[in-house]
Amino acid sequence: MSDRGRPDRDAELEDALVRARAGDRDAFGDIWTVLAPRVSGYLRGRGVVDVDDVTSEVFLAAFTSLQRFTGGAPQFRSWLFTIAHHKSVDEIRGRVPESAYEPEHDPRSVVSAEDDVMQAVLGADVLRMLGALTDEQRDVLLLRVLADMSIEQVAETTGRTTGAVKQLYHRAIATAQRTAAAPAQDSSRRPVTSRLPLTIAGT
Amino acid sequence: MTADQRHLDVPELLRDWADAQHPEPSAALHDFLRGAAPLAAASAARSGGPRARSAARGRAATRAGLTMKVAVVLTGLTITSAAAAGIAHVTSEAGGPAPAGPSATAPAVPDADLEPETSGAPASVTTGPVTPAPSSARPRHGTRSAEPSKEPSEDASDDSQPSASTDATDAPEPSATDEATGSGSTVETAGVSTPAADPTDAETP
Repeated sequence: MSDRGRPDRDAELEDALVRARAGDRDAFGDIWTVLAPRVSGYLRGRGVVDVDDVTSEVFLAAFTSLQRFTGGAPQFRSWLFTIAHHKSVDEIRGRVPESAYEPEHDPRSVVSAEDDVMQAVLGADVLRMLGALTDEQRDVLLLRVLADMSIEQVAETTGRTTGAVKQLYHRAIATAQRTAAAPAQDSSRRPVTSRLPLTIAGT
Repeated sequence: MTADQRHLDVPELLRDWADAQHPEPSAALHDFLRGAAPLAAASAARSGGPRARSAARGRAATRAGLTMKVAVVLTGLTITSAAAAGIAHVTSEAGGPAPAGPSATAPAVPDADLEPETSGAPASVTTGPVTPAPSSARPRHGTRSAEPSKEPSEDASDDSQPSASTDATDAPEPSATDEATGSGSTVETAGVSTPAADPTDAETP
């Protein structure tokens, strides 16, 4: 899957990678600018609480290992999201026990103050969609769509077979479409809390 | 499923939503991006996490353990000396023969012409504390005094063990992230073909 409609992003990322490897500090900022929103969205979609902190950790981990990385923009993007995936696993693992989970404190269900109205509405829809998916479906969908990973890459990152990934992806799309079309029962504040305990327990 | 449902572009919706995120860089990353922190410093700041903390805890525990051992050894020696002095005193005052000690006392004992005080005392001072252990409670300390001689060798082996074992056991749960970033091989693997480390471990609770 390619980053449809955003070919300039890959070119920009490629250029930034070359400059970053050459020691240009500004290039790191460019990489952040290009990829941080997606990484942040991925982490938020997976239920990470401290999204900004974990996003920063992901980039720091990548930046400090950049000299050992070989590959172009697509490989870097996949690598970065693999780091993000593992970071999110760590974060969710290290969180409070499931019994102490409080839905109203989940960042995916609370619209932050700085979000504008449109983003809040869009976010609520997306989060409601994601909340209707199983953990596996959500992982596959997010990696496939936000990280632009291939089926094989998603399979490797999540430790599943390519057949399973394909099936999960298609089911995720179908479920998301059904959910998006269905009227939200209470989309204002708590769109995706029903499955969150599974998210925590399953990862 | 209605036509609207079929035509809903879920991936595009997700991308739009994700692209609208505005993450704020953390202080460490901010420093890094500003060039204020060199790579190593940024790495250290990043790694100020559970693994580094557990390693620090391990080192502190090692130091504390060694200090404790030294204190125990010194205490043992002190008690031994006190026991030795006490036994010598009791022996000399009782005027009896020195406790059936080791063969080292033999040269002193046979001289029956000497007064008991003079024959017993030196023998018990030099050899009494190590072996006598008759009925009093003190000799128990005396027997423990044999331990200190073993301590240094244990310390030598312990010196290297705690940090290793601490790292192994005290370390946080297998960090999924380290698998992706920690080793160079993983990074290179990721760069060449696919970036995954071994996520299976990460996924398995």
